[in-house]
Amino acid sequence: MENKEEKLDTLLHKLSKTAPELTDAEMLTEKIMQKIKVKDIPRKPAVLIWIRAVSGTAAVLLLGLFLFQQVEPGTIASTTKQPGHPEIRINIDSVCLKNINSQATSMMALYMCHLQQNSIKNKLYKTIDQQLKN
Amino acid sequence: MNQSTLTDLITSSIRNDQKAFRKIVEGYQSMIYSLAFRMLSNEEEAKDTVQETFIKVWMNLQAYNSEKKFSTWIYAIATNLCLDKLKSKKHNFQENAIDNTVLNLISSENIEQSFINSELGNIIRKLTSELTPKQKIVFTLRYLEEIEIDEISQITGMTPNKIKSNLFLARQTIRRKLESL
Repeated sequence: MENKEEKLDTLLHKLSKTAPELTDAEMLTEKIMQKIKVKDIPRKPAVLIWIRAVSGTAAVLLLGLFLFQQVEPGTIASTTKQPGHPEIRINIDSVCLKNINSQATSMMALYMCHLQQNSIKNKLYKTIDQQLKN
Repeated sequence: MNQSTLTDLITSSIRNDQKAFRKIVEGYQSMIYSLAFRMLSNEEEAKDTVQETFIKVWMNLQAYNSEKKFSTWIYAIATNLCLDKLKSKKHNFQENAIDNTVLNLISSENIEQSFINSELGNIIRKLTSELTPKQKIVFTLRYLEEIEIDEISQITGMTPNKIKSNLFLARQTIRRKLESL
């Protein structure tokens, strides 16, 4: 067994000492340089990588801000009492829903109310409002 | 090539200095060729791998972390390319290998060296023909290129234990192969 191991080690040692030789090294170098020149391989400039990272972070922050603005403060409430399973309901149009309780309100009025309450100036709202007034 | 020269060459190459990159190619192509030849046992495929490796190096030089050894980084690129080739060429390897060997002998200016390379390729191919691509990679890096296990781990991304178990299986298979010869 030891003899076989020794033979294997000797063989591996000899193989490691016999390195294959590159016969036409200059031609290979030339080919590599030609490929780089001819194809004009595009390289990503380091500045672009930074711009990509910064704009990605900014996009995520803006999205977060947008979502945050859509939720009225104080309207997040736990509705189920079961411990360990809280259910969170986001009530965007609490003012509008109060109006439903106080007076008979159509779905269109509820939608208009929602648009009015929305923090973002909505062009669609203005158009619909004008159409209704006309 | 000492470390400060290499750092200068890398910095210049990142700034699109092709003369500097040529020096890097000249300094490392024999090393990459030796690795690729031992893994693929074929001159033409080894040369193709050298070209592909340096094109990848050129494209990704700015991503190189100077805290790590440049040779380890470049070995990792070449090893991944060899692994892809080993995985994809199983079915038509033998026939193509013989064709390429004959063509190399006809076109080679240094016929003696071509014969040596060809014989060396045949021996390595016979010994490692039953190894899986991963076993062949770690076997070549450890026993033929004589790289330490920690560096092989950095090159291949495999854990030291995984490397050791692959080496053990590779040795067992090769020993069995030698007994049958």
